[in-house]
Amino acid sequence: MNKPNLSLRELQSLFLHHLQQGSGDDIPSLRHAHRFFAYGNGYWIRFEDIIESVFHLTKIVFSQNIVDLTRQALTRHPSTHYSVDQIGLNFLAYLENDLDWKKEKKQMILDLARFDWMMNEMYQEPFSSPIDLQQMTTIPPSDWDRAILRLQPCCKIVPFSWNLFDFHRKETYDLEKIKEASLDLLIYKDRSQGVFFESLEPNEKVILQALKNGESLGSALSNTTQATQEEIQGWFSKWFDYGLFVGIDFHREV
Amino acid sequence: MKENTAYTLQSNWPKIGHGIGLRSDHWTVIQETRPAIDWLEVVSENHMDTEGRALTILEDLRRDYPICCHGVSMNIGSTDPVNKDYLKELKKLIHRIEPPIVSDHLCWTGVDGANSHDLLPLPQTKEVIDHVVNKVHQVQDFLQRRILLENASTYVAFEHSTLPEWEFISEIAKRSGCGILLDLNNVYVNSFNHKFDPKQYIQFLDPECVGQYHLAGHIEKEDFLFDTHSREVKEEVWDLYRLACRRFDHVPTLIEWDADIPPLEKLLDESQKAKEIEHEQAQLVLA
Repeated sequence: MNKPNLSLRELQSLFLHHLQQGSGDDIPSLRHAHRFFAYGNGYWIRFEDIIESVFHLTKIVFSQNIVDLTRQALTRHPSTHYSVDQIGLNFLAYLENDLDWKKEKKQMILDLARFDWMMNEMYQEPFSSPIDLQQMTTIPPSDWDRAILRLQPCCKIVPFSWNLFDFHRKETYDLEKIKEASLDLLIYKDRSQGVFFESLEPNEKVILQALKNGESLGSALSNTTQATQEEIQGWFSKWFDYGLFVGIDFHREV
Repeated sequence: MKENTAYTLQSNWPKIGHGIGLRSDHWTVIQETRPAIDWLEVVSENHMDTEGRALTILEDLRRDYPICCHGVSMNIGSTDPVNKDYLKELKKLIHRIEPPIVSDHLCWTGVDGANSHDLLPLPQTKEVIDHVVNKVHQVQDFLQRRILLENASTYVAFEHSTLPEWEFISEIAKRSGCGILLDLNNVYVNSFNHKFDPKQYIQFLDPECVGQYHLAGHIEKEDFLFDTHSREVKEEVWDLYRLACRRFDHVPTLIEWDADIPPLEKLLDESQKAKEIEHEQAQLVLA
């Protein structure tokens, strides 16, 4: 018996350290050390799979380099959470604090990565039974000022500074071609439990943001005078189709 | 050493039949077709910390199937203290889906706060038994229920191990009151990788301790077998299953498939095969 002069904790620390290097040759007492690569390879592949499955847009920007980037990020910020999915936060921390990149491009990459992570977080939010459009159409206009439409928690409106729609379906992209833009994005989970995003028209954003802030239907509609009735009906029809609303509350007369 | 808490007195593990691992590839088809299967098992961590579909699917399916929780992050063999945040989330999941069986692995997954998310091998020594038994007690006290620990597949070993794997896991089960989730594929993989007789492993175990089986596939590497859960159960593993069925009484059996996941029918076929083998072996015992 070749008992190592190490405590169990020291042995485990050494083992974990060597996982990142892929070789177990220096671990005392280890039998079949040449098979250690089976653990070392698995260590990285597991993380790479998670990063690639969560950071869709970021992956388009980095293409194959995302593998190296994942390894750098996880070396700098090892996983400390019991859920492997949480390594997305470690990846974000690396992009934010450690990535050596030109300032303007770094901001774009950070925005994309945060957006990817937000989509992932939205997937974890609950989707409650939605109400249908007919329930809203029964509200008489005289009650609009006290009718509050409640939105799903899995629905966010976020400003975004890059033209996502230029490149989000491409496999690779030239960084130089990504254009700055001023977008308001609706990120939502629909009835299929899939998470989607789309760009909001300025007036559409004003109404939906007001409803999300808890304003009454009448107040939300009064915030914009430029949209036509057909446009407004179209937006509500679409939002109800997505299942964005979960209930209607009536407040007392103001 | 702590003995005989209320939950450890319940010595009989539930006899729930033949199940399959529930993976996201099959969520929709299982939800829509409700196949004839006795129970389902989920990887606990995939359904914790979420209010999304990963949780709602369980709340739906549990109306028709018992759902067992099988974890990969309890880190029971680590020298790090028991992770209370993890156990709190696991307990929440247990309250929501009421699993007949809660299990994890006899291994360690990380140390000093860092997590490899892999099932790493332990030295098989009396000191490590003391350490693991102490942690199992803490976990079972927190969860207020017994757990099963699965024998993990390993590719390396420690020269200072003093016990064979079957004695190591048996001692932990007997002293802590936990049961054994006997992965017969892992027994076979380890018997090849570390040169022992897999039948001796099965024949050594106390029938009172064995609470569940796992069956899965593996692949061959240069000089070892690699546990991938990506293939059909090999014939050599079915032979071990036959032996186990003769030795242990109606232990719940699960088909596990985690990579290159085939259509659901394939898993159901494998589960049906397990059911027929169990029946055939029961007839042999009666004869």
